[in-house]
Amino acid sequence: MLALSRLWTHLEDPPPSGLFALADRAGPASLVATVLMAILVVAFARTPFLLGVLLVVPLGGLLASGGGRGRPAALVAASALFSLIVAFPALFAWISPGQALVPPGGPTQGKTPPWAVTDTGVYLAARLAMRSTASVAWVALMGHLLPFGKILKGLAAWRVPSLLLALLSMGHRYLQVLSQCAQEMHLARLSRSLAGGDLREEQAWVGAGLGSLYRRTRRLAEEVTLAMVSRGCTAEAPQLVGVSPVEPKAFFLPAVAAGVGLFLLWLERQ
Amino acid sequence: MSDLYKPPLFEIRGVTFAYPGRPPSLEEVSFTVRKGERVALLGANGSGKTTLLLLLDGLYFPQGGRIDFEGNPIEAHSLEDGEAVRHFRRRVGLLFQNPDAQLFSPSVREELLFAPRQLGLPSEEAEERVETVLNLMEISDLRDRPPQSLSTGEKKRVALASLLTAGPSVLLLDEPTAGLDPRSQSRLLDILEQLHGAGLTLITATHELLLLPHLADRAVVLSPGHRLLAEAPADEVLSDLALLDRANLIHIHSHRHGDVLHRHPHLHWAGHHHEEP
Repeated sequence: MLALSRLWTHLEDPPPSGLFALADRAGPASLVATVLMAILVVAFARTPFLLGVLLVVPLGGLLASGGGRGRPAALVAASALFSLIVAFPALFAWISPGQALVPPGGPTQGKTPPWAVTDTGVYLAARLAMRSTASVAWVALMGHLLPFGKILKGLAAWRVPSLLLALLSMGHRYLQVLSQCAQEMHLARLSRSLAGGDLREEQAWVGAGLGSLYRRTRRLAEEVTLAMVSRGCTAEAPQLVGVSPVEPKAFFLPAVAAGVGLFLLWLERQ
Repeated sequence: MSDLYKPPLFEIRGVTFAYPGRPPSLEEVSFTVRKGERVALLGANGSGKTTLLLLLDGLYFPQGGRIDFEGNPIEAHSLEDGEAVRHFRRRVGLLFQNPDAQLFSPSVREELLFAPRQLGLPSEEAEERVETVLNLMEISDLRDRPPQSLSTGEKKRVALASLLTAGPSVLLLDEPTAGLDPRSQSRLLDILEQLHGAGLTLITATHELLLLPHLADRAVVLSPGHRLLAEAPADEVLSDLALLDRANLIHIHSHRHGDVLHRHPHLHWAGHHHEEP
């Protein structure tokens, strides 16, 4: 949570050069739609080769962009690791029957043992991991190039419901405040610690810290609600992001992305 | 015109309030705030200042007594009517002590647009108000910044600006100078002075005795027992050491110089006072 929050904090003021300048010129509505197109193509891609290409492109973008790319790259790496863990069971014959590649102990009476790694399993696991990592990589690239407020503006321009935008915006805001709060609690604890405690002490502290964080979250949520009501917000979803019309030029980049994507999907199916 | 002849804005009559499952935060509190006044709600921590502001803003409602705004009671059912609530919210703005509670939009500009949008103002008028307030508060350079990236002083100014775009005539300020460095404090006090000069009524919850003369002309003093202790001009309150002691705002201690016993408080605004026993 902290790392994700730091990622967004860091990205609020990107220097307007290179890819950042390009993103600036394209505008948030265009970039958001382009990334959405890319994710759609990722969702429909079947072969590890095409998925690999769709993973390399945003990673290349991150590498080429400069300006604090370490954190989005770390986010992609964490996502890849998580996807591999989730996809791990799919490697084995009891989930993905197929030709055994690594049969521990070899085939028994001509049957593939359920714990054998199969070719189908490797294919499925690779596809699952690459698909989710590529999707996260595109989102990370977007988060790297656009401040969070502009991403919301881009979504609002495409008429994403204001309730969803309010949830995203408030969620992001809470994350910021809470991560800061968690960091302060951690530092306050460090400043009063003479030496590292044992596991039991650590567990007690984590439990107490979570409880304290929960209480603060509740209090902050109540205060935010009161502040919104005080400024005229009624039971309806508050409009936190202004809606500006989509300019014709905003269609260009998403249209190119859609065209290239469709072509790649067509090629893959030949 | 003397303040006594100005029409009453808020009339607080015997107000009692308790949060669920807790002892009363306010008991039998009564006073009046007139149009254009600068009033301080003075009290120690936990005396009920913030609760009183929340009641004045119609966010909570008294369990005993009543609060009238411009002659109309502030009650749950009276604020259910769309037009009435819009009128009230447009007229009264509340600055929270914690600016993080008040700043929830993705950028400063959106934050300033929040109230005009909620109040249904036409977008051109809303934009115009935002520009005016950005200039007035000297925060035009912060326009596109996300609120969480601002310093505490900047956050306070943005929070205040976010109230002004609704065009209020009353500002309820909860510890507006808390956590600010001297320069930011002085800047904020200048802005409040300007707003008061423009005719706004300011009701400020504070325990800062040093800043009291800059924040208010009159003070309503709350006791640690959540009751009204006194209502008097700010300078009179500051010179009444017994009152300040009863309000838990100063600490009077005793010490000996030879055979003479001194009892005196530490008064930041008046140097070191000595009183004979």
